[in-house]
Amino acid sequence: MKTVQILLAFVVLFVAIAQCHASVPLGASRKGVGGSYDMYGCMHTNDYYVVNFAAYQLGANQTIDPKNLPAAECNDLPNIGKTQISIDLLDLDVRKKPVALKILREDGQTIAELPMSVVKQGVLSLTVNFKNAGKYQAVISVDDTDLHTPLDVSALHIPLTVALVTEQSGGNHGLMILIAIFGVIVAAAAFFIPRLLNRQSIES
Amino acid sequence: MNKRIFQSLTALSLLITSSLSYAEGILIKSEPKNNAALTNFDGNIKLWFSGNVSGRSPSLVVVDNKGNRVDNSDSRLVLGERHRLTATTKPLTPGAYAVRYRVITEDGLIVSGVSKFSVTDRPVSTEVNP
Repeated sequence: MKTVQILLAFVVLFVAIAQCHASVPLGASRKGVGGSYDMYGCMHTNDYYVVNFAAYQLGANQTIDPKNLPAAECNDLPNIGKTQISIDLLDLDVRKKPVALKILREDGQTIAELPMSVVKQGVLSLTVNFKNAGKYQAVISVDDTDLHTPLDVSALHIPLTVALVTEQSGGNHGLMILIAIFGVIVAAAAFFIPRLLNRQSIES
Repeated sequence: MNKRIFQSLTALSLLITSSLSYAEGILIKSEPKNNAALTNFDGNIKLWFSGNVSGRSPSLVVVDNKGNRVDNSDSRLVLGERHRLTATTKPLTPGAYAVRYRVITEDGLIVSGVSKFSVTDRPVSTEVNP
């Protein structure tokens, strides 16, 4: 009996470990480019680097609570105002190299920046106050001591829009519609089938 | 008896989970090798990866010691039993070069890094002169 218990415990443990190995998507459940959700989240690449971008928009009097952050936005930010920008450096070697972040307006003027520094934890965080609707961009520059590439050549540019998109393309609307259609079919079946069967039994 | 079964199962689970971790994607070989010194470089860069590599955003960039790109922007990922990421370079003069590579696995993990090599105009002697 004890052997069976040990075997069962082993199976549960093994399945749990296997699940851990199989579930390490970096951007799970995060909004991606175009507003659609995919497992990669809001991933941005150029020929040199890859990052995951997230923007958390806060209300006027709201403070940042790391335990209760609002939903992460990708490139299209729905509102103006205070926004927490968070960028995961996904290249492990880049976490050992100086990195800078700038948020630029469409005319090229810098509205917020993080100076060049090594970010060992791999997350660049910056609070930006977007005062006007419009187009912006986040620019990540890496002082790559292996490549010696000029900063402006290898910089990763992430285009942003603020308060310009009224309805994001894609998103989970398709899934919601499918669920609604399925719900209507189930409700209709639950309503009509018993009546149909009842009528047939009366007729016979 | 139970102790022996438990030990055997623990060893087995460690063996299996360690083999599972290799499925996430790793660089298994590169040509030129990291830190290789080459006299005859044919202009081809090849990297092989194992694991569940996806076709999403692969990249291979080659730069000289001043950071200028010397590849032909023709990187190509061929998925197979051993996934192969390739690119060609312009004719290279003697000097140091760095390759920056990246593939992304189907689980969203990034396999990226830098490999270095140099091109020399004469064979590098490993013999010690008397």
